Amino acid sequence: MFGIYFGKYLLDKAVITVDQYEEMLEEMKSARLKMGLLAVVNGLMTEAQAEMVNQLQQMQDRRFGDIAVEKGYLTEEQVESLLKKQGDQYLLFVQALTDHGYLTLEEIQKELKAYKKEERFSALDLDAIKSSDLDNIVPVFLKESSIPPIMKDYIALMARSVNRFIDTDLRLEQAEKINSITVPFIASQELTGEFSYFVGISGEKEAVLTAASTFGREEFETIDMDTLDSVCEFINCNNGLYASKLSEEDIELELMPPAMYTEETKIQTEGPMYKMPMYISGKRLELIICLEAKWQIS
Amino acid sequence: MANFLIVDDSRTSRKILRGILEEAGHTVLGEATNGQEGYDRYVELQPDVVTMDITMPVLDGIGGLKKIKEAYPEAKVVMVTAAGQKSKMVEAVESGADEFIPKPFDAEQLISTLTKVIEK
Repeated sequence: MFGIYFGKYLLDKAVITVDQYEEMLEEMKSARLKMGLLAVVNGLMTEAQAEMVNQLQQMQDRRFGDIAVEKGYLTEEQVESLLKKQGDQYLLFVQALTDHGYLTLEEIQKELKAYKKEERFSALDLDAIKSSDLDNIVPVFLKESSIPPIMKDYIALMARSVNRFIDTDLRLEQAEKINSITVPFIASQELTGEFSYFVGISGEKEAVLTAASTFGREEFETIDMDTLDSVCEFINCNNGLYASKLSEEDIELELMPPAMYTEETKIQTEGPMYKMPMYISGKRLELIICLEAKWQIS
Repeated sequence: MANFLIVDDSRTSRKILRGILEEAGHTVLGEATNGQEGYDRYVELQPDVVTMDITMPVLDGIGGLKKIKEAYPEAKVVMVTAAGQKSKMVEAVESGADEFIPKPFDAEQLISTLTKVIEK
């Protein structure tokens, strides 16, 4: 995941080419083994146990390792050891850059400094991105001070869902506060109960088609009701996970039937609304979210 | 093997579910997009099992479940739900739901759950 961020910076600065960037990402992908596979290969879990944990992950917003420990399949120490075996994404990316002869270690350090400065990252922010752990990375892009904590939790969950169900190479950009937005199309759902949410996904056509095709397990070529229906189902599943987490705290939220708009749509609100850019396969998805505000869709 | 009726407002869900059921050798007799339509199709098709989404417009899955169970207490209705709709799940159990299938679908788990319902 580190490579997605730093690699994109190097690409934007013309330090590496598009081909080199894509090649590096492919290498990173193949270098990172799935936790379940690693556990089975190392004889720590059976295939059936790994499959069971994968199934539970579909219903719970929790990490593979946490569920495996809870079920008694792995110990905390074994999870730690497997995480190490998964590899340090930062070191792997640095090694790949030098092995290919694209940059020397000295040049990498120089570019990292420039990247940190340009993005106005703190040392901790950069460490979070180097960790390649989505839970550490998400807060780096939720710097907008007015975002309520409960909405930050929602956005973090959505990022994990995109990462889990659509694209492991998810790249985030800073969330932005807005009062109105006009989008060419949008898939959305409202949640009501102890508080209310409007959640929508729009973005570049290619990104929305990728999201719909991956989640819906079929190839979509144009933005129509079927494509947006697939994106709505993704939002619905994510919102189910969110409602599930809140219900553990005795907060009940009801999921409303999803709504799709295939034509230009304006969303306005008197209260706070946020836009969170999420890049999948290099194309921009936009998460649009309002909390406890009167929103208007036209 | 059993005959199914799929009730879900999402075309994507219906398509994935149909694919999993047919792959496992079951037959999908028909589809409906809300609870009322689901009831009407049940009366018409008399399937062995109904898969009923919870969140739907017009009449939701709980409403559809109640209508079917009131008229046909022996009907087998499996609720399909995005995780977390706890109060709805309690209501569904009280209204006679036979089982639950979580979204997004996991083919193996789904077939195992449905097999139990069919053999009940």
